[in-house]
Amino acid sequence: MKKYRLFLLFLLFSSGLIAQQTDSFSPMQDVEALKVEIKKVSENTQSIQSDFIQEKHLSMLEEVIVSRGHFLFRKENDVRWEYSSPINYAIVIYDGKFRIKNDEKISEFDIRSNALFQQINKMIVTAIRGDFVDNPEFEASFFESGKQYRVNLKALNKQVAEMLAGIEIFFSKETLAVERVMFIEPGEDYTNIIFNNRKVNIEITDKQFELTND
Amino acid sequence: MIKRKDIFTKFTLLSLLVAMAFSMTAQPDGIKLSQPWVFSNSFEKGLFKAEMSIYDNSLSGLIIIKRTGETFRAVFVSEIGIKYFDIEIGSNETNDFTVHYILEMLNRKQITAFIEDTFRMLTMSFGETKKESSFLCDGSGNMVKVTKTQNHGKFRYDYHPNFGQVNTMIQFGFLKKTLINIELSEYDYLSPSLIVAKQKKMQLVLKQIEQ
Repeated sequence: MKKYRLFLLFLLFSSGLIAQQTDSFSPMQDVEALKVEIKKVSENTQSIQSDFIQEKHLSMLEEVIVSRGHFLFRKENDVRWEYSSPINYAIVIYDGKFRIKNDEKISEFDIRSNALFQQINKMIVTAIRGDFVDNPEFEASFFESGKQYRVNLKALNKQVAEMLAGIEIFFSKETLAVERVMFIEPGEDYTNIIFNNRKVNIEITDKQFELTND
Repeated sequence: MIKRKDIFTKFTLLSLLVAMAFSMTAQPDGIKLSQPWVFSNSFEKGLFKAEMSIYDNSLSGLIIIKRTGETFRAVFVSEIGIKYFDIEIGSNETNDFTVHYILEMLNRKQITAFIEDTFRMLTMSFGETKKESSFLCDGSGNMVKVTKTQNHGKFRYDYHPNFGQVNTMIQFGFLKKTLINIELSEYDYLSPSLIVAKQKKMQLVLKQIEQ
């Protein structure tokens, strides 16, 4: 169950263009102004479509597991997060259901029957409205460089903190789109998610949130 | 007289049974058996799609198994990157087991024991097949069954006499009760591509993706 919560957490900050963090960050002075701007962008975003690259860095093994996929978001809270490499795996939140497709097996959960899924649903709506930075479950601090804003989130929930030492979200200063999200674990391992080919406010149909064995 | 005839009949029957049992037959002298292996000496690392069932719950994701000098390390992460466990096990005789990380919800004695037993067996050093071990070949000569006493119980494995690939590993407990059963198949020259480890209410299935 915890994995769904974390998964949705990074969906909250979905999508943008690839950018490399090349410049240094310093603490932001006017945080409230940034929050207002993020909220405004979120309110104007009806849908998002994006590809992503997920890099799991395993420091002791000196290995990086690279996964690739595609995701869709449509207001109010329809989500499809799908991996195409190295394995086929998809999570869809649509029509009050939480569905997972693992190879050819589809599992379904009713969001309303489960307090956690209700919370997830609420979190997504909150995120789209742009006030995730005020989420009471995280302590947020804000930084900026020449090209990007960076929000560092530290989990206040003990169970989440056990899995995550922190989350770093990188926004484009130009578009306020999220370009990269880093999930930092206790120790030196981390997951880096880079978004690319982002399109906003395009038409996304109901059919695109259906999971079938095809 | 009748008594002697009975004894003779019983002896004959017993002899026949023994002969049938060994018709698979004992290792013939003069045949050189290959060294059994699960991960060949050239194996460096493998990425597996993994599904772990624990009672009525299941976890899925990727497991990377990597040889790091004298040890093997296995890390299980979910599809979305959450780490479930990170373990290390010695491939030497001591077979030391270290848990570098395990998610709190998995940190239960039965679960960690299952993970430990599975990876101990997968990475164990088989040693030479000695005549003292009880072993049999099947009729076709394509399988060698070896039974040893290990961990206070019987341990059995089957392997191909020429290629050495281990196909089955079973750890028995008290009264020959199966504690853990591992099936290995679809070998390439480095490792099996499919591994299924089963315990009473837990199962781990690994399907190799790439190396």
